[in-house]
Amino acid sequence: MVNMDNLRIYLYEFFYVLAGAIAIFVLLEIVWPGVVLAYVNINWVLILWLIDGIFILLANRLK
Amino acid sequence: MEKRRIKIRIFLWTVLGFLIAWLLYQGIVPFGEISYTCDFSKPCYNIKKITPSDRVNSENNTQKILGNPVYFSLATPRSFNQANISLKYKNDNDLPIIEAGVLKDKLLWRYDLKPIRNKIIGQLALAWRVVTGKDNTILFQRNFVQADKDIKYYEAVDDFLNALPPFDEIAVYNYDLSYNYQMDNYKPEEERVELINNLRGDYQFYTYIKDEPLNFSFNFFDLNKNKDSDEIEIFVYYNSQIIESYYLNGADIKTGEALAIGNIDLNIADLPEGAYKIEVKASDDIITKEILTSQTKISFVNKIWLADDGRENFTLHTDSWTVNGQTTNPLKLQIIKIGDSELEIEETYKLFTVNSLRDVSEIILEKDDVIISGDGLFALAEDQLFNPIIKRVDNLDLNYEGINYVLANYSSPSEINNWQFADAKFDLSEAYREDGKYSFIISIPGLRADDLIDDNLVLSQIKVELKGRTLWQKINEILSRW
Repeated sequence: MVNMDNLRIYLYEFFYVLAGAIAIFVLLEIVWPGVVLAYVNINWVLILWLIDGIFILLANRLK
Repeated sequence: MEKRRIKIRIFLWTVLGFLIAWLLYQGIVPFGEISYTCDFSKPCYNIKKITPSDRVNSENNTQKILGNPVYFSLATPRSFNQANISLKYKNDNDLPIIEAGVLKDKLLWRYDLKPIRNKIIGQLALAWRVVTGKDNTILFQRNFVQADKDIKYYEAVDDFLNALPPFDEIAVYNYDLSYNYQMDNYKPEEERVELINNLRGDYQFYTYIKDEPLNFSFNFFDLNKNKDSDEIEIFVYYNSQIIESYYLNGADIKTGEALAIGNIDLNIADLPEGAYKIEVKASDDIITKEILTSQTKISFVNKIWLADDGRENFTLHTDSWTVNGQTTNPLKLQIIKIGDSELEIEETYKLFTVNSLRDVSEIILEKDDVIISGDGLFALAEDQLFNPIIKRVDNLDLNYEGINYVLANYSSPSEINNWQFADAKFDLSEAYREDGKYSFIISIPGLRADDLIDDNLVLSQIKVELKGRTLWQKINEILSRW
């Protein structure tokens, strides 16, 4: 049985760190073009962040 | 519960911190060395797509190059001093010359080319005497049995450099050989005459002086057809070294109204006898209205663009083996006579080519405003044409030209399982870099996408190793400025 409280903690913490990552990556790209995009596709980080956000909404509805 | 939350938070932000630190490390390149590889299995960020698309086909994780030349850009997070480009390719059609180059001058689209493969040099290694020197320098000397006269043999490259044989017996490849070219029976003239009027854009020419000043007067006009930079620079070279430079600036405006910019008078006395190169760097918006000179030997290097001035049946002379014609003006489509051949310019912006010319050919243009280019020199009269350039082993018939010595800086590509591997080193300190990108060219003379021959070069991998300043050198540099 999945512990919903633990799952919610993971989902929230992932959401925060991914939000921070997107903000930092975008800022870095503005200041130094190419330094992030050469290695990280920010689109995938954004998609992951959105999926995480959707799971948080679903987890809150099941509460 | 709260403790668990804090543990997870610390872990995730630490991972993000390490990721950002690694990205910054890759960007700063603190030890000054980094390499990028592209095997074409997926798009690469640093090594950009090979262009133009009509000369390249993507097939089975390779790039099939169909036409010459092709280009690619290299995006780097910072500048570097040196690049080593390694290519993995398959040359099933035995294309004789493959070269790679880095863009040095964007205005003139000038690339610093280095060899990847040269079939002639590879064959010389089997048939001629070989003497190796420092840094991949090789001296090839024709064998006695092949020579139609006795030739002097050198035991070392340095011996050759210290006592060079006659000018017309030497050819070079990827080697900058300084040779003090001297002409027999040259007589200087004192009278100053108009050499030519209405030349468009940039050009370079060789001239010869002996006991006379180097004397040219240029008059420039600005067409104001585009907003490109209208700076004009003139450089005078002697033995590949700049000895004098001049500068003039026009207005970077687009009004369509031609305006006079001014004159550059070049008069340098007390120069030693020899061949001098004069380079006029200007955009296509600049017209050289008039050139006055007392020099009698003038050979334009590789290109001459006669501006639209209503001239008809204009004659040029060339020693090029390949002559290209191109026009941007639909009213100037024409048939150009080159010796016994004809070159039809039937479309604007397209380059048309005639091959296999020998010695000096006469070119008769029906109309002006056409760019004539080639692998040799061009002159306005046959007696003005002279060639002080040491021949280069690319499109060269060594037997026909009577070449007995070839000095090259070259190493043959290696071969594993039918794939060839070759690399070329480039000095990036003077390379052109825009928006964090260096521009490279892959040149395969003779390979054409629009002919009916099914020939190509299959490129499987490009690897670039870069070297530059370390972080500590950069910090020292900044501190020493303070």
